[in-house]
Amino acid sequence: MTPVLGSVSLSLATGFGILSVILLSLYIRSGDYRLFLAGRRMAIIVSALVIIATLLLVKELITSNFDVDYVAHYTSIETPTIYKFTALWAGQSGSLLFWVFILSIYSLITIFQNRNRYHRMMPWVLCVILTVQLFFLILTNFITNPFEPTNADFVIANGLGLNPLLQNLTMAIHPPVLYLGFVGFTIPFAFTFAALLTNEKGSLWVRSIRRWSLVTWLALSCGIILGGWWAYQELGWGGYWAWDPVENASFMPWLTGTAFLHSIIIQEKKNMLRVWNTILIMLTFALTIFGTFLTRSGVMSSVHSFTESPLGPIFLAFVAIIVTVCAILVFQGLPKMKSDKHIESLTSRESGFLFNNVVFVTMCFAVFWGTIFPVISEAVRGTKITVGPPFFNQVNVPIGLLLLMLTGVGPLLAWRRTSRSNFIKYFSIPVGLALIAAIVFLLFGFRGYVVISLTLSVFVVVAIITEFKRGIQARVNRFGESSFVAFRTMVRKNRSRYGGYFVHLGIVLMFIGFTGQAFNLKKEFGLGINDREHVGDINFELKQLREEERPNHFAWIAELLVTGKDGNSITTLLPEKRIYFHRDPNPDRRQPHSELDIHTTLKGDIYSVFSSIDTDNGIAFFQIMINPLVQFVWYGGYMLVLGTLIALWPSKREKLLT
Amino acid sequence: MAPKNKIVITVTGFTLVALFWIYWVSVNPIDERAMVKFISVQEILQTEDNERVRIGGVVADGSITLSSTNKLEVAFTLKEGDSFLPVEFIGTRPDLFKNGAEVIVEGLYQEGSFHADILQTKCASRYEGDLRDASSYNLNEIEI
Amino acid sequence: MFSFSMLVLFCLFSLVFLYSIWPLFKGIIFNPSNSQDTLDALERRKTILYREIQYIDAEYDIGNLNKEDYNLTRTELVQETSDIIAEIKLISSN
Repeated sequence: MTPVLGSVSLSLATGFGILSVILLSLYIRSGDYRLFLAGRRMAIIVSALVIIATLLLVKELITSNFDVDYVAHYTSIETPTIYKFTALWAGQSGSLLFWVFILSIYSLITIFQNRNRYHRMMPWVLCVILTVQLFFLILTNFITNPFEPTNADFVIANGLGLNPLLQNLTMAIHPPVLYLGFVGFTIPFAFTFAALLTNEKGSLWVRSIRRWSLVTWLALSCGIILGGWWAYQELGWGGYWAWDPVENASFMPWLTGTAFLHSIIIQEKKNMLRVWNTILIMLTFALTIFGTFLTRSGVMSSVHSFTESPLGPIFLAFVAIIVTVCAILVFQGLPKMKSDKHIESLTSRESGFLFNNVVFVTMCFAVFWGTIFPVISEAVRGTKITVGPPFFNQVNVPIGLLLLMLTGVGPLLAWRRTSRSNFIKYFSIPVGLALIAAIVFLLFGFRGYVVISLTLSVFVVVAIITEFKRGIQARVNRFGESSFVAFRTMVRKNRSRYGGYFVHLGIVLMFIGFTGQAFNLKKEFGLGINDREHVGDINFELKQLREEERPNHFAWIAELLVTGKDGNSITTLLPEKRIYFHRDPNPDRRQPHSELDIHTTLKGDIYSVFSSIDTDNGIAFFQIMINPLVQFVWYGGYMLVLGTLIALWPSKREKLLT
Repeated sequence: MAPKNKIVITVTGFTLVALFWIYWVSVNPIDERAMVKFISVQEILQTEDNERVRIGGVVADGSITLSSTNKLEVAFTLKEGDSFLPVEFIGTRPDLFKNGAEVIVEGLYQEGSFHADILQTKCASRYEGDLRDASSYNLNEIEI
Repeated sequence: MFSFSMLVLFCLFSLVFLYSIWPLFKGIIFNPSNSQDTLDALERRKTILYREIQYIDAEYDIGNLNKEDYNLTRTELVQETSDIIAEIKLISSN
């Protein structure tokens, strides 16, 4: 009964969605307010039905109703309840339902927040949201229905379940966090779209969507960082970012979204760059759909699997329609959107924002190019060329460093134009200190990108500090406040700006972490008991090899004594080699797993993987990596979250405005 | 010059330089691993030139043999359709590497054997378990 | 039993559907989209402008704005604010 109800809810949602779009379009033509009210009620019902359907699927997953194909595929009786729940987004049809579920919640929030506002824009906003909902509803109704019954010619006693190795909480929660970010860009997109169509001139709606975009951006950033953290802690290849298509799919909208967050400030304050912002948010939205397509259609593994399921072509068609419609609208709206104000000087904060945008978009293009290159080369030339991390690193390092530099340059530039004397006054200290730092780094023997990256980091930090100092000084001079009070009031009065600087500091920390990669060391070797091997100037000695049988697996535990150059003991690492289902008579069902052990310090991580074991000769094989400065990436992540929260923290003043 | 033109020229100039840079890196990768041809087992058995390539296939049943002295050394047969390719690899094997696993290898083909320096198990883009096997765990990887 | 629950569901569906189309059967409803929105927008624009004036004062103190540009921007903002106040007065007096 429940699966039927679920299917029916999805179908009804589709029906109501279509009706709602029709009513809203009629309202836009006739202006009869009753049509709008009815259309809005239907939009609410669509979202409610989607939420009901999702809850029904969750119920089926938790109660293990294996008559539903999806439940039987992704859970089993043994699956712990929490992973029965997270199976909601483990598979294709479930994750598509989950996408539209999040959008439905966002839709309800949007409707509620703006129930008495933007009467001219709202019908269009709702139409856009409904169209996106309908797209995913059609997919979940007709292409991959999560309520599809199990093929009925045999009885399912138990589901296939989830590999226990993949039952990891970080991995289970990182997709929904990412989705919160992905889906959230639909709302700013809908508003921008509506503003374009209704030719809304004011900058009021910009305020509402700026906050919305920031929340979305935070979720997307957290999703990306969590993904990296999980890969680093669990996967055992010693890195956090592999430029995998799935990772790129989330990184591309992040890049354009970040650009949008910057330039929307200029639109709000100066009423400039409107065309540019419109294009940016459209691009971001298209990239989120494209990203969902990349991760869900299987196009990256081969073009052939793309044509096997209708899902890929439908997605691609939807992206194409979005891009075409947006391009036409922007082109038509161009004369109306022209602002009477222009950027007045190349050395102004406004142009700093513009350049930051151009660089972000360039980086996004570079990633896009590398991601789709294999598909294009296969389609055009018949040979598939895979693009590896070296390409992405080589292309993006200079672009990234340019971005880092702009992070420091921006706050030093004045609005409208920077006079020569101010230019010298503000730049001399950060540039001077950065140059001194550069000389020091060179004396330490650092070369190449490492020096540039660290020097720029110093420059940015000093630039941000001087900006804070000037702000505090101004308040002290004018109001006679103490420095601390001045600092607090300054941040409170302009949370988004100073929160933004904290985010920038977080980005600097991350860059320091990325720079550490230049010094990564890696070595694989075998050790007998009391044997020794060194990686760099760190020694590893195998003290002991223990065996342990635990409830669902068997483990060999290596005791590695780690000592420094002078023989001083650093730590003891205990990496494990586990065999899950070790009692299974079929050896192919036994599942080896390397449990890493990482020794973490600010200076760097010692990362140990128990690769393999030779039980006859008592030799254990290890992969050891020394990863300097990795922790800075995570500290940068915390700083980024903190900064964004400062920017988002509601103030009384803000409530008056939104 | 009007400031607006200055900005337009700078932005255009930067964009052109950036596009050229992206193009240049695609054509002259600094690392041979940046852009690697993905070919089939059949193709590599016929080819003569000694170029770094990437190959995908299934580990043939019962073909995995570990070296008796160095357990980091493994030899196995890669199967794709009806073509078979002997592969050698030294290093840490991914957890999901086993008989019947879908893998991708990257390296050089020399003297009748493929010397891989990258061995990855493939994340199945779609889950293809048979529900008839469902009475016990299926160890296929789910999609991430 | 099955048919009974079907009946309940059908009734539920009908109620929901009726709810959604209910506004259509009312008499003509006043469309608030124009005057209401305009006044609302003006009020909020005014608040933003007040804030913007404070903001550029601070920016000038910090040194992020030249004297010349500051004077120019401030005049523009004050002008726009007074225009908006005048417009609000005009609309609310009608």
